[in-house]
Amino acid sequence: MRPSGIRAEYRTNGFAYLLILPAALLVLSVVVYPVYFAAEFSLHSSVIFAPGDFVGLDNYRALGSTSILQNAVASLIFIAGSIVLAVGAGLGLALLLDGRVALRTTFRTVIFIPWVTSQIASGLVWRWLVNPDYGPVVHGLQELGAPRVDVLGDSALAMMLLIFTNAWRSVAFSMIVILSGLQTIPESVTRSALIDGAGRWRTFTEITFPLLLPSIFVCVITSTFSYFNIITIPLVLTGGGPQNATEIITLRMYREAFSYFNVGFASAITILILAFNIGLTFLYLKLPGNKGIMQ
Amino acid sequence: MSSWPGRAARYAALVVICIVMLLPLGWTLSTSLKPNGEILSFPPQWFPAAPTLDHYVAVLKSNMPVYFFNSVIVTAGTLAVTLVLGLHVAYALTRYQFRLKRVFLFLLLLAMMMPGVANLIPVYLLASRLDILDSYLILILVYSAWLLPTVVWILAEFFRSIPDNLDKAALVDGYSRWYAFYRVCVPLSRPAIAAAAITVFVFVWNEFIIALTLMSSDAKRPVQVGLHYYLTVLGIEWGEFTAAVVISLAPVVVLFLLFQRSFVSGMTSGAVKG
Repeated sequence: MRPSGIRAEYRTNGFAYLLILPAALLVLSVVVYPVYFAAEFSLHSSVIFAPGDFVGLDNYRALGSTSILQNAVASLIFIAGSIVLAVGAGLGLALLLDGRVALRTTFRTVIFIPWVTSQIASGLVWRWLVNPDYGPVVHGLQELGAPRVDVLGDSALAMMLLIFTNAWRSVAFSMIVILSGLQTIPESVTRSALIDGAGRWRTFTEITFPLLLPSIFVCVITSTFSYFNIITIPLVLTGGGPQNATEIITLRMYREAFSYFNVGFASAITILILAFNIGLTFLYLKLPGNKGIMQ
Repeated sequence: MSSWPGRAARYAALVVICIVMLLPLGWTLSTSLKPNGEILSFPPQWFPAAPTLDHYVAVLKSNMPVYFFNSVIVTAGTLAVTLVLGLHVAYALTRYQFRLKRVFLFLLLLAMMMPGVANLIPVYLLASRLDILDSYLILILVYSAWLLPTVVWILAEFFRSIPDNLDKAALVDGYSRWYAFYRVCVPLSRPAIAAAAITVFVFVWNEFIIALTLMSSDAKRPVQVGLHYYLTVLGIEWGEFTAAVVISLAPVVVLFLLFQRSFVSGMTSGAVKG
């Protein structure tokens, strides 16, 4: 339809606004408006879920405490470790499954099973699998000559298990994104490099990998969002332990609010987490492949 | 990779990875079939010596069917809201230019990027102020706001592939804009609707922490929260717990296997293009 004059254009716009109105109302009332409550709470002491005295920025000052810093460091280790493992393994799997591979769909389906399994079921079952007394994985490793280990009793091992479980759950996502990136690389490009004597490794590092970088970036950024906002897996797998070694910042926020009922402080953490998410969103939009999203 | 040692290494790697991917599910299935005496036996056994369906019977007699029903209601509600709103939004975004478009898109992006968890406390405070904690409504609203953007990206990408002379032709023929949308565009976009629906289904069915926070009564609990209470209320009753996990997983896995192609296309269109 060709808008003739201002009136027609106005009507066209009006129709578009009508189409988006319900969605805009939903997002504004469920996502944006509630932030006001958290902001208000963050400036007050709290008596369970009722705001108490106005305390100014006290709750925010408490964000500088050592224990919150530890939570932030745990989050950082968790996110970075998960990304390295999940995106790295996703890249490896995509390369393994690229081209003509017998049973390709079957392999892909199996790799997707953890992705469609709920985080609570995954977390609880992995917790059992590594139980030092009756867990089959620890037992199996012992049969192979490894010492009996209490994974959840050791800070470093617990963090590694948390990262492993999270990567195990989400590797399918990176795999599929990178696989679809791989399919956009014409076979003729890599083949001619091989014919020119570049060798398989050099063809990968100098042609395939650079062409895959946009897909890998998408995986890294999208995964950062999703890993940053996880509570369930650490809650049920490690419970944040031992000695808070795996208590990432979102888990701390959850506990401050719903276990200790420090809602004012928890709200301050929420505002911090929201700010981080908004910052990441801007970063995401700066990525080369994402210009299209804002048009 | 045509040399046979290369091919053998490739398949060996894939098989090992697949075993690791299936390990927890295998253990869950096997445990759910073991009689109580075998469950915590040492050394751990991968196959039940005397398989039994007792745990499944116990789960069906417990509150699990109620939790299942609650999950169905919440999932269906979220599907209805996100698909209806998503279709309208995607149509507006792909067919019209309007001044607040960028603002609106940023809003959508934010809603997607703050997946309920960052917003957990604000939403809890809102729900308690409005007195709608522990209602299907609040859960459906929160899930819908979170998943709407994903649905919009999936549908918008598809709408862009439908040539707009099709709906223009309807307009030229004198039909209304609503007709062009509902009768021309929507029926054509069935594959994209399927992709969006299966994506929403999997996320809503599996969500735990938001449901745990917002739903407090046993009668309203969805499946995943029900799984959690299996552990805390009855102690660690592994046989029934694993049977309940298998039952809760069944609909997702079956739908995933049936609509795998839609699901994967939904994932990549949501991710690669934003």
